[in-house]
Amino acid sequence: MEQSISILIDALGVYMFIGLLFAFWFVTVGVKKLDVGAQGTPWHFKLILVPGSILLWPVLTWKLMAKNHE
Amino acid sequence: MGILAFVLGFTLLFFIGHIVLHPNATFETILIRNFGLLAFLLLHVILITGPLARLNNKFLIILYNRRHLGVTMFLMALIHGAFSIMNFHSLGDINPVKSVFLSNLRYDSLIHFPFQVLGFTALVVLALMAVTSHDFWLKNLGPKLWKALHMMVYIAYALILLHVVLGAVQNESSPVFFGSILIGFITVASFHLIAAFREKTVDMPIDGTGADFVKACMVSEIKENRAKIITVSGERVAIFKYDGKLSAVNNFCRHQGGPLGEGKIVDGCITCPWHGYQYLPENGQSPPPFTEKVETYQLKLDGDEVWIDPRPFPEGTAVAPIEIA
Ligand code: HEM
Ligand code: FES
Repeated sequence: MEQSISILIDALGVYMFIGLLFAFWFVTVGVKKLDVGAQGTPWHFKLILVPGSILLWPVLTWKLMAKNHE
Repeated sequence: MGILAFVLGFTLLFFIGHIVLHPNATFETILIRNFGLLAFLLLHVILITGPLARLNNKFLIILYNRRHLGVTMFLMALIHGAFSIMNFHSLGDINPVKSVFLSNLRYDSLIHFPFQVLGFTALVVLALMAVTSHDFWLKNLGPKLWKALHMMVYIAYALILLHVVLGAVQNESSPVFFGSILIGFITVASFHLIAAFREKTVDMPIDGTGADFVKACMVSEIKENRAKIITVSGERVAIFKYDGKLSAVNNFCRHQGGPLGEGKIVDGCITCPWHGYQYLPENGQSPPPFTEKVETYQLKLDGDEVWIDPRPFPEGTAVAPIEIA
């Protein structure tokens, strides 16, 4: 029990770390591929996307891949 | 601005009240309680604005601002949670977040259940909603996923209710505190029930499974340039009357789920009552340069009766409007 909780929280930490790396890439490069409307938007708009990109990086990855297949 | 003033005013009064009533309390304790209660209070306001706006249009203005309320609430809850973790869990040598989950292991007990774990889980749910509140997320996650994510506010409410009640039981709080929680819950529940009941009498659900066409309403029930909302096969559909014609589209606005059927036809477009997104009634598409689309439906007329095919066409499919004699 204690051990599984501990592993789960470590996994959560790893998830967030990957999310952080992903978020840097997403707001600078990836977002324009997903949504052409984001091209040339000001930096504070992109900053707003950072927390969401950290938490939802698997969904965004999936959406980006689906877009590539179109 | 109003929200900020409220938060600051509440905090000031709370600190003064707390210092007078409990002179021994530490600064951190007051801070934790203050922001926990503020978040809890704001959550109640957020939860009742939905039904309130359905009952009376005057409250729509709060509904438009619900996003700001939601993000503020999350930040309050975050301060509360972060200070709780710093205060109660960061002195040992284990990871503070692990400590939240492991310092009390009585997961098999009802009364002694680790209530902070419930708060933590709720905070994760609130975080998901707060970070996706910008329109960018609605557009790029898609309306279905976005709505599902934001309906989780009810899960968060249930978790927080348990968090607060169990926390209060374990800290042996006063009966007044329990009474207030109960009143809050009854208020939220009754507003939802009243609104649901009203809606039920306005649009009786029609069971359209299997049938080709089902009876929706009478032509005379729809006002010119307005719609009637019906529910077929679990989906809410708005049937609009304009220029001697009828068209049906899905009721769910692609912007933030506003009720299209409560809006009007303006310049030939269905105009959402919440923030004014527009759709052409004959194909469910937003006029260029916009790209939003809603599902359309096939209607037919039998005398004065309007019938609808419950199977939606894909979003943005053109359907010839039917002419009324
Ligand atoms: C990481 C997440 C959380 C942790 C570790 C946490 C921890 C705590 C603790 C230790 C208490 C007892 C404080 C005391 O009575 O001195 C408490 C009470 C409370 N919490 Fe949380 N909490 C968390 C999340 C939340 C969330 C998300 C909400 C609501 C939006 C919330 C609302 C409350 C309320 C209303 C109380 C009662 C305050 C009072 O006793 O006056 N908490 N929480
Ligand atoms: S919900 Fe914002 S315009 Fe419809």
